[in-house]
Amino acid sequence: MTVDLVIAGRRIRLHSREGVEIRPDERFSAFTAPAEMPFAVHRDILPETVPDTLPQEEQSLTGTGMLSEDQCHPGTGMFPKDQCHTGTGISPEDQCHTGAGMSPEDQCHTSAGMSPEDQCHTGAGMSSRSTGTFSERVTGEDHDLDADMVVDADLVADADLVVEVEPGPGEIPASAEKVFDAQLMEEVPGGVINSGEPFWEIFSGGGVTYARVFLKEPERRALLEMPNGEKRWRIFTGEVTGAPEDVGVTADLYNDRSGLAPDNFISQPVTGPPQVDAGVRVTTDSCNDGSGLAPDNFIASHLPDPSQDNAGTDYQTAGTIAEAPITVNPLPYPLDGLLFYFLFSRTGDIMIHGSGVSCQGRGWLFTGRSGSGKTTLARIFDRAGDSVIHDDRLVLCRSEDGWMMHNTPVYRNDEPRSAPLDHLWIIRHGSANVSEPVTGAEAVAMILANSIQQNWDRVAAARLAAAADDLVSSVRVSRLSFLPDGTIREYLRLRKEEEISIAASAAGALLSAGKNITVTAGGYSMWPAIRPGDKVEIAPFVEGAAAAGRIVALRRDGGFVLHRITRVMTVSGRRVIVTCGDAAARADEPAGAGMIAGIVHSVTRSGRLITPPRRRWPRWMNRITAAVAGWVRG
Amino acid sequence: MISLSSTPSHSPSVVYRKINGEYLLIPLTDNIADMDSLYRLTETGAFIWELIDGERDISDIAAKIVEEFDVEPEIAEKDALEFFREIQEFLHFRET
Repeated sequence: MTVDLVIAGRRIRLHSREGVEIRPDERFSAFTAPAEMPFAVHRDILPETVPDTLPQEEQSLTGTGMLSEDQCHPGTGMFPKDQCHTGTGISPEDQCHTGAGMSPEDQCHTSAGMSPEDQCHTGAGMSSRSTGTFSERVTGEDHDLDADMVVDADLVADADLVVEVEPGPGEIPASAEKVFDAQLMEEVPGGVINSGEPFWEIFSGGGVTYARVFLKEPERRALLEMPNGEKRWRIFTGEVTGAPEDVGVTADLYNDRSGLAPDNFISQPVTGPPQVDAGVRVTTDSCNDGSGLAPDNFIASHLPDPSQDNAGTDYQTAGTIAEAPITVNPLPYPLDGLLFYFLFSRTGDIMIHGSGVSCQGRGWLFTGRSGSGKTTLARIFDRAGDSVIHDDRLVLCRSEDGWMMHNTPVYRNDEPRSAPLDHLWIIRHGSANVSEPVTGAEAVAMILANSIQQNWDRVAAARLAAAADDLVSSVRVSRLSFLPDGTIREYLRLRKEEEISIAASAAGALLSAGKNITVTAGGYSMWPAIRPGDKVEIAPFVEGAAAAGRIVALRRDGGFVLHRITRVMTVSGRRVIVTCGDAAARADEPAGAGMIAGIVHSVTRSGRLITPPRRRWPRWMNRITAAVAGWVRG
Repeated sequence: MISLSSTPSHSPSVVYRKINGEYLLIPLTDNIADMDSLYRLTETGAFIWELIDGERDISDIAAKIVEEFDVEPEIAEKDALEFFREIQEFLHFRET
């Protein structure tokens, strides 16, 4: 059977062979969509038409705006060569080669040992058995191999991902290497501790990434198998451990005749409401602590020996199971979150820890560490009648109209919600409502620090950084300290409406009219060249005056900022000026000449005219310590 | 021990990305316990980072800093050494 889930705009097609009923638990009810598969039409498609479409689909999975080429041209005004440091293994292309010894395309070819065309005909690494079963479901009769091939391609055609759901254990090849190990994290008063219990592990080998997940009730190890660069994955729902039948477990274990079927393996016929994994389902209350950590009821106990490998386990597939239909929950927690995470990572999306609201048509996302106030803010906006997209985790996707934020059903029953993203705020509790813009690498770092990262995978890490870079180039990012009361909503609403400063407009008008103005410096960003109280004379800016070393007045909310030009460059025929405060740790966002209101003509300190000194040698580095963003990491 | 005669080169254990003249360094790791920090190099750090080519040693890099910035050679060398010691986990070094 086939079940389609649409989550964050991505269509995930769960598919099983005959006799295996897929029944996602009730969290997914509102995310289940009718399969868009016009079989009658597709049955007429000749096999040779398929290879033309499949590789393109594969690209959409691995790329979606984040292909290696795009990473070099993110539209942020950077030189492509700046971002692609050949010879250092950092360009996306190089990363592909470095990370797994082959490009995604190569991996694709290697994983099944055949060309994409061949994969298409064989179901991209899926067993021919499952393919045949699917065609039988569609037509009610057996078909020859060619007919199966056509239907199998249809299965993939309109989905972002197809996941074959297989009851029983999967197998990780002995040649695969463990690349990441996540233990169950427990939240305790005053912090978080690592329980030391296995939670999930990632293996990589032969062009395939495997996620082995330790589930609790019933205790078993599920396996998610993800061939790199392909949009066809498999879930093995796992063998039950701890029972005598564990030895040499076979698919019969899930057969009703055994009398030992675990809770979520229900023999047909099934009636009544969908059965859920009671022990692994998360309620809002238990996981809404903002920690991103597994709630207490995920504390694993009596887990199997992690050293025990599935390899070599004797299990059977279709033949036995087909005789006794069974029902499986394909996406128990945390397998669901892992699957979504890997999918969204490959599509260039961002999974972020935060609460998102839509206030008067503006989508605002509040992100920050545990306890920073995400849930508090969601409640404030909810009480004011605004739409809360989600109060803990969101998926950010780039669309044709810009970045969107979406909820997911991982943590509770929900309905699909989304909103265009207007502003991202990095929040913390404060004694007043204060916001300040954050740009460039700092903004990207703050987003990454609050996102779900995959830093064992070079390609995925680079892709996430590229996505965050793209995000900050089109969505404003600010730090926000706030009071936990209703005033913050009004503060943000008014701030958005009154971003034009009257004072800046007046001074700008004088400069535009060719008049010099004198202002009193009030900050330390140009220390020691310009100090608070200095009288700074600003002359109208003329294009030819832009040169490294000159101090200029940049237009900002509420007035001007005096910073020094550090570089003038030409990007795509356009002159771009990079500025930085002498005492600032970070450079400003590169700007066109239009952002410069004037150029510093003189500085007067205590009645004496002084010459501003040359650029000083600043501190160069800030360490950004980031909280471990939770979600699927446990 | 890193010294002025050490020659730094880039390591595959870190992913980096240039953003508005700065660099973001993302260390690769196989354990969640280590996945807790990112590094950001400001424009000045980026200047040094881009001088790393596996050929120049740190004294060569300090000389380049002196050419670019208004800084005394001794300070440039001291700061360059401090810089490389602070981010040594992201680089390989060989003695020349």
